[in-house]
Order: sequence, then structure tokens, then C-alpha cells
Amino acid sequence: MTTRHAHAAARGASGPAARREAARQQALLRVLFAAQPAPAPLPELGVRQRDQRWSAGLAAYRGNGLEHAVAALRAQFPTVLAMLGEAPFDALCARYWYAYPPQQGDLARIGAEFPVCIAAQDELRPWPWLADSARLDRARWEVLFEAPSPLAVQDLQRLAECDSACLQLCLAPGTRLLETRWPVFRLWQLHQAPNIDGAALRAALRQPAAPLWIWRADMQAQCREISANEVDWLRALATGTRLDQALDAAAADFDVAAWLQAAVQHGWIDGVRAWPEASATSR
Amino acid sequence: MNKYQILSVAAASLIAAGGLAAVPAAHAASMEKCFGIATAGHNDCAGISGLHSCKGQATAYYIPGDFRVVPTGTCEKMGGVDMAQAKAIMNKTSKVVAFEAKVQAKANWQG
Repeated sequence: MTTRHAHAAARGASGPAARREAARQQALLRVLFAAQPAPAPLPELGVRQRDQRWSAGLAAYRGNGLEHAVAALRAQFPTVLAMLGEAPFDALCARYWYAYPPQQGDLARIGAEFPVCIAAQDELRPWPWLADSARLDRARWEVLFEAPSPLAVQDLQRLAECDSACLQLCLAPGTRLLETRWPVFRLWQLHQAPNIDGAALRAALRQPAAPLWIWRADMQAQCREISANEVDWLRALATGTRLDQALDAAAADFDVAAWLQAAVQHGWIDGVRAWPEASATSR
Repeated sequence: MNKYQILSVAAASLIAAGGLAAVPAAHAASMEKCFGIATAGHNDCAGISGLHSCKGQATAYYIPGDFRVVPTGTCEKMGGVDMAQAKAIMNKTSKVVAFEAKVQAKANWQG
């Protein structure tokens, strides 16, 4: 039960029992995330235990929630875990858990704000690439849970036959564009080895950064560095602009034919749709 | 030729070449339960382990009784098993240990 679920339960409750249960769950959330080490039990909880027995019970609930959070964040951010080591990572997870209480019922899906949380930690300032490494980890994890691309021959037919001012090329949900100041893809690669090469890491950090394109291929996340030209094109597509405007945003020497071939092969396109406000004018 | 004309020609060429046939896995529509591949916190639903009752509550990696829903035909490739096989593995502790080690090794190799 999370904050949003508790409120939703309260809104959707029809009978007195359901309303009581929603109120109980909201009260439980308030004490779980209360700033005090041992807040007094709220009356809505209906618990009889007091003092040490209440504190021990509350500690068990709090510990369980945090353990789930750490397990979920370890699974999502393996590179950050490898960079920080287990104890500092777990301590960071605890800060995150209390700074960003879960907003949905599936605790495995917490972590969206983890990169922001990392960037806000003064102690982590000496490693400014950590937040972007977390963004890459998160993007790689997120795409695995997105729906596969349903691109059909009809979509390609629209591209081949229709006016670009009447079309919108939609990127698949299982794709992410990551713009970064740090060579986080190279850092990610180096952290895949069981023994991390410090000299290679230092050398990698002296290399220029490149934007990254992440997508789901089969049941694995894939990533590659892309050019600034490709970024302009992808950024335009990601904003949901018309195809002719996206093409205008792309650099003159951007190879759109090669991109389309790769996009079809790797499932980067969700569909080619008619632009709702299309004016059917010249290309 | 402008960029849109290039794109149109490329699309027509892909249709002619049957380009969409090259992406079967990503377009798989049907899904199945795949046991033994869920990492901690990433199982789908209760499973048959009896260790928990909810999605996302697996506390260890590759428990044969926990499943994830995956596109049909991809389970075996990831080292997973179907429900009948999972039940057979769970009958004996030594089989569970051997199975978890096998999936872990496969995951390490793929990682």
C-alpha cells in the first residue's frame, strides 16, 4: 500500500468497512514515513500494542519496506551499485526511500527520482557522472517493461505514400534518448567486468561524452552512442511533432534512410499515424 | 531528392524487401509465464513458491517457483521453465539449488 493507493482506496470506497480500511492504511503510511523514530500509534490503526511492542512492530514494517526498496534499487541500478559499493549504496537507498516515498503499489517500480536524489547529495559531488550513470541504468531497466513495437506494413505504406505534413512518426515506448556530459556508456561497459580496471575508468573519463540511444531488443536492453544529428531528429520525434517538421529539424546530412532501416529492424517505431491537424499541403 | 522523398523511398524499399519480417521477437503478441527467471523484487504475481503472495515480492534471484510473464517462445532461451517443470524442480532442494545456479550462470554469461 502506497500513498497514492491509500488515497485512491479512500476515494473509491463505497462502504464503511472499506472507508475504515482506507483510513487505516493511510494512517499506517503516515507512521511509516513519519520523521520521528517512534511516533505514537494513530487511533485509525486500531492497534492495542503500546511502547516497546508497538515500536518493535513499527520497526518491522519500516525495515520490510526499506529492504524491498533496496532490493528493487539494486536490481535497477547495478552500475551505481558497482561504483559506490554495497554499504554506501544501501545508505543512499535509505535516503531515497524517505525523501521519495513510493507513489504506486508496485515497489519494484520505485527509483524514477533516484538520479535526481544522487545529484542532490553533497558527498557524491566528487563523482558527477554518478547521476547520469543512474539515468542510463534506469533507462536500460525501464525499456524492458515497455510494450513491444506494433509496427505494421500499413505504417510503412503511409510513409511511402502520404504527405509528410500529414504524418507523425511515433517512437516505440521501449526507447530512450539520454543526453549526458559524461561517457557513461563506456563506464557502464567497464563495470560489466568482475574486476573493474581503475586505469581504464580514468582513461574513459577523459574521453568526450556522446548522447545515447537505448532500446529493448527481445528481452535485453541495448544501447549505442549516437551523433548530434541523430539527437536532433530523435528529439523532434519525441516531442510528437509532425514528420515534415521533424525532418526539417534533422541536419541536412542526416541519413534518414539508414535510420529508418535500423528503426524497423530494432523496433524503434511504434507507428506512423495521420497528423490530426494536417493541412495536406506541399511537402 | 529531399529528406522526405528519401524516407518515402526507403519505406517502399523496406516493404518490397519484407523488412518487417526481420523483427519477429519484438512483435510477439502472445505471452506466457516463465518460471525461475525473476530477479528479486521483479516477479509477476504470487507464483507457486508459497513464499509470498504478490507481484514484486520475490526476495531472491531465480527462485523456480516465481515467474515473469514473457513473450511466448523466449522463456527457454532465458533459462526459464514452464509450471510443470518448476513444480518438478521444487520437489527437491538439491534440484532447486542446481537450477538457481544454472540460471545465474546463464544470466552472468548474457550480462
